[in-house]
Amino acid sequence: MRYKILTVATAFIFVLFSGCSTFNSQEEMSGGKIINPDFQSAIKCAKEKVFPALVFIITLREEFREGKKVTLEASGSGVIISPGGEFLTNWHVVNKATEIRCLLFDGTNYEAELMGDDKDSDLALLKLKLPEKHPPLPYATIGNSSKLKEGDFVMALGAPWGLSRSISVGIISCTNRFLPMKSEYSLWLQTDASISPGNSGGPLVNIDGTIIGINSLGSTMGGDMGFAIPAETIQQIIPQLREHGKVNWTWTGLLLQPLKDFKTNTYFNASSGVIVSGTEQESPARQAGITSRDRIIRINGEPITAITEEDLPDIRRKLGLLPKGKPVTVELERDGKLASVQFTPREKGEVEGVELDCPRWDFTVKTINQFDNPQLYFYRKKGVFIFGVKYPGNAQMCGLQHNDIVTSIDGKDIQTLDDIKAVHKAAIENVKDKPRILVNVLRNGSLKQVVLEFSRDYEK
Amino acid sequence: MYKTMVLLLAFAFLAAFSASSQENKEQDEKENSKTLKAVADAVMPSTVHVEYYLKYDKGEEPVIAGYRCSSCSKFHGTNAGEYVKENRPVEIPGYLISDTEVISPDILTQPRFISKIRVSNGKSDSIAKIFEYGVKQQAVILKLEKQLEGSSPAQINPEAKGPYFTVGFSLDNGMWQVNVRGLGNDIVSYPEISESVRKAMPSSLIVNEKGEIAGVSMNPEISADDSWKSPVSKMEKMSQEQLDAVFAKIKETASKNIVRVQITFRSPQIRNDTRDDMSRRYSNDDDEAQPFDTEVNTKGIMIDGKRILVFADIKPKMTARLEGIKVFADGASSGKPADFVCSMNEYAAIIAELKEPLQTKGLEFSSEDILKLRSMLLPAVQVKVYGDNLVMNYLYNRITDFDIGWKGNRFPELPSVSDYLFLFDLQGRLIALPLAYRPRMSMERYNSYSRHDKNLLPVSYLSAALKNLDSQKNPANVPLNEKDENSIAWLGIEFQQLTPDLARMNKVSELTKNGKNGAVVSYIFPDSPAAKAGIKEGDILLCLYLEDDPAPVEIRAEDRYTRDFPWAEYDRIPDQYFQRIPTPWQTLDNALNSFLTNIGFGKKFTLEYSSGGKIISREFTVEKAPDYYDTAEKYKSDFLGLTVKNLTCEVRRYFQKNPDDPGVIVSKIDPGSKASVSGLKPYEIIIQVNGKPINNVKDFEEQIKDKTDLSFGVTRMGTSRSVKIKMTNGKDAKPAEGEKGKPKPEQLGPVKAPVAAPEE
Repeated sequence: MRYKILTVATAFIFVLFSGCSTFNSQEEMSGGKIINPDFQSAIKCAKEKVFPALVFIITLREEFREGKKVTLEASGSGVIISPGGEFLTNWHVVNKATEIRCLLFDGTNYEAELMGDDKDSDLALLKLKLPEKHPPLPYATIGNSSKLKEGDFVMALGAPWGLSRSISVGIISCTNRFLPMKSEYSLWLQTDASISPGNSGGPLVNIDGTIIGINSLGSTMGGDMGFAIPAETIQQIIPQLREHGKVNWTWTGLLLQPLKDFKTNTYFNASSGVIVSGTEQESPARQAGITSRDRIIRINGEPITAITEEDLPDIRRKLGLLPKGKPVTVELERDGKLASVQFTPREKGEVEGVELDCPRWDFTVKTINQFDNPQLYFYRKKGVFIFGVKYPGNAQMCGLQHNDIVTSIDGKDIQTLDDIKAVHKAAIENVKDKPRILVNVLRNGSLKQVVLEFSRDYEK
Repeated sequence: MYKTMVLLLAFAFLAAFSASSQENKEQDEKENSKTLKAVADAVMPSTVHVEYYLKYDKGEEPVIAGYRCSSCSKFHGTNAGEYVKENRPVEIPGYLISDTEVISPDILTQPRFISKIRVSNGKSDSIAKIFEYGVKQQAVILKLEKQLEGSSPAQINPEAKGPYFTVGFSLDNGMWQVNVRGLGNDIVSYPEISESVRKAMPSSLIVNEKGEIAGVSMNPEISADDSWKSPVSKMEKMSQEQLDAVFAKIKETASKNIVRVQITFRSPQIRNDTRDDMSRRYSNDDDEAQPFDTEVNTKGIMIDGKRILVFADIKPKMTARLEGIKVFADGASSGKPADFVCSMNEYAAIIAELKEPLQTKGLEFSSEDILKLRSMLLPAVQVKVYGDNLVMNYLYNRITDFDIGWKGNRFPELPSVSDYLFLFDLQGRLIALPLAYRPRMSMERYNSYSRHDKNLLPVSYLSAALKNLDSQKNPANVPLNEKDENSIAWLGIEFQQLTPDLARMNKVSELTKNGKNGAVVSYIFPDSPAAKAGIKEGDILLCLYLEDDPAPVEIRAEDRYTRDFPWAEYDRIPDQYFQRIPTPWQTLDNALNSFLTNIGFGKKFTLEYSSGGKIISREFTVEKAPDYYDTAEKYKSDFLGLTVKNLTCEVRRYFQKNPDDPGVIVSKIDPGSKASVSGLKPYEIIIQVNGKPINNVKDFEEQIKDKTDLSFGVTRMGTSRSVKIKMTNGKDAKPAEGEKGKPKPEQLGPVKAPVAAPEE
């Protein structure tokens, strides 16, 4: 008798182990009911719920990279999330766009205006310019990405390569993917649903028909590997975009490093906290005396830990959402001793410089930004540098190069775009009398004099 | 009436007189042309064509006496390869002086180039051979195999009286011609050699109006007195045997005293900034030393049993690396070691001394006045170094003219082969040698005018220099030890070459010849000679004046195309690639500093520059620069696979570090090493090790000793990070004190069964 109970018990345990995970997820997703995953019906469900909310976007963007201002077309996808016409897409689709036109599912088209965007999470919130008293639009709901598991079935909707109204299918390959080059503050959903240029900005949908991600990145090599912004991140960011037009990250200047890093074979002897790898130039953390090798244990009393690289975005986001202007207490360990440091974080501000083109001079400039051009910022905190040189063009003929920091033109000190705009305007008006001016640039830390001769008009 | 008669008579008389004088003139002219023709006719029967059929020898083109070059106004031997290729002989005039003997001008070619000689008079011909050489006359006597029909020898009658004509036979404009010219009474006197001469046509017979031949001259001058009136038999000549004997003597002295010298240098340091490394300086001479060679093969002469004058133009930067000198005498295959004594200031040579003397007294120098040796037959050796061989060519040549050159010295000019030539007198004493003066120092990359072994230096100047060796040597051009061999001189200026536009912008077009020379100062290093002299950014450098050179040296710097250093993509650059990209900062060894190094430490110079419109002249002494990146002290850790160097001034400037900021810079990472895996990259600065600031490589070496775990504080431009490296191999490091141990892994125990049974 005893044996029988035992066998039944062990058999039961086996069954539990094997069938455990799928049971749990299905239960949660369908609110307790067990659904047989039927491909066709899943897609039908999603399609009915989300397709009508899809938007196909074409933008006109100003591009300064080639030394002159050119307007390029770009296309992408988006999804409407409110009946009033708010829709989501990627930041890189609408970045620097001067005109945004949208095609809705039913064939109507409207222009859109940007409400807010964030480069780091690659998200943008826009609103369709609807006429007054327009009936409510079909929209999709944003779901919950924290309950996703690897292997869950998802669909990517959008307009890949301009072919609108397409669906591709796949599974969740990874729920917490860390991409070090792409985002400081967020993790990504990795999927093998086909994400290609064009359906970025479109929704990633689960079998419930809710948006659990916005398609963001694809990969041309490595087969079907795509990444989407998790809904969790979107939920956190949308209110900020609605209210401020951007995510007002707080800046501490802390650069972090995990306790264990397999790639560089670096392992710290600790089980909690996060290592400071360094501090950024002129930052609150640096001014407070925090240095590399300090191990931060608590921020404002809350313990934080980053064991691996993938734990870092979470901590950075915590730091990034701290209130600005209010002092922060950091408890850290330095060389075996515990210490407490206070500093006041600031607003991060712009993460990219502003571009300007100088026609006839045939180059474009950009303001030096601490985060975008750290190696130029190193030499000149407030200045402009040459972003692009047109070929063929006057600047290129005279020896000006990309990444030259312009320190003065025609004897006038240049620090802002307004400075250069003023000098440029005066010089162009005077070109017949004075077709050549002296430009001083910093190249690789050394001062160079270049005579810019612009009597020729390369646009003729 | 009476008056008219007288007038008429006078008129008639005048007319008759002029008529007769006119007649006389005509008569004279008729007489003259008759005479001239008679003179020419008298000479014609003895004129012959001497034809030299030439060939190549050992692949070398034959060379014969040539003409004065119109572009450099020096004599060059004529390359007679065209004659061989066009399958024709060199045609030279000659005069029959007996039935089987011909006198002809000496074409100064070597017997090895002569395939055969033929003498013809247009009707018949004969094979001939040179059997006598004129000693003071530039002539050869040929012996014919058989007599020529239709020719008769010239009979020289020294008693024939003047006035004389000089009659020359030559081939001009494709036609043979006899030129008759009066032998004037003009005399030229050379006070330096107490000689007086009269100018005659070269290769001519001296004939009077009766057609009698009074004398013959192959030289363009004859003696002012009557001593030129003499038969050919009385001419000073040398037979072939006698000439062979002279050559035997020269061979003996040359083989003992002209040696091959091999100079070896330590390997130069490779630099990423490959200004000179890859592109060699273009040179017309294939034996000119290139600045980065490790071996120079050249020739030298023994000046006594132990000392050698080595022909080598090496500058201080190269001499600093000199390691050894070996002397190969008499075709020996193993060299004898010699020590460096000194390098000469004015001449492109160094003096070396053998450890063990050779069995010779050295080359004997002639003390005769070279002016007296014009036209004389002089034996010579042409010496060239081909690889490991010293190739010696024996020939003879004659001095025809002199040229005034460097420092007002007088140089002989030879009509035939004159480069790489050692000229001797008939007794075997050295008259002249192919020693060049050191070329003028210039900052130009390609020194187009390079005066090398093409000049013949009379030995009297060398004698004088060797006697005053102490004043002739250059103390700044000496070998240095390995630690110092890369030291450079500096002024502390970084500058940018001017262009016409830049000169205009800086308002110095006039001063700098519209931007052709000169440079604008872009940076002054603190505590440098230039800073102490008060030179500022924006000043325009104009030119330099050296101690012993009255002409200014132009400031030239090439604008190295600087590419953006790839800081933005740094992590993606593979380790091996760093060796190929230049350093992000400009090297301290720029064109100006390199030039000053070759002037030599301690020498003085004057710099002319313009500041605020005023021209300033300032004297400087060539100073040694402080350590720079290439000479900075370094330390390599083989275990970590990284090399670090001290921070030097130009590196500190690039990274905007103060002189007392701590740090050492990573100069090299071995691919695949511990340092490489940890993510360290070249040009990153390590500021601290395990919390302790590092000021120099010695600190670094100290701090990484006996540690189990290393933690570096590393900066790259403005950002910093922490890098950890385990010093032990594979084993876990001991936990630091004060830390709790790592959490123990939990045991997996049985899971409790749920209460409800699962549905189907």
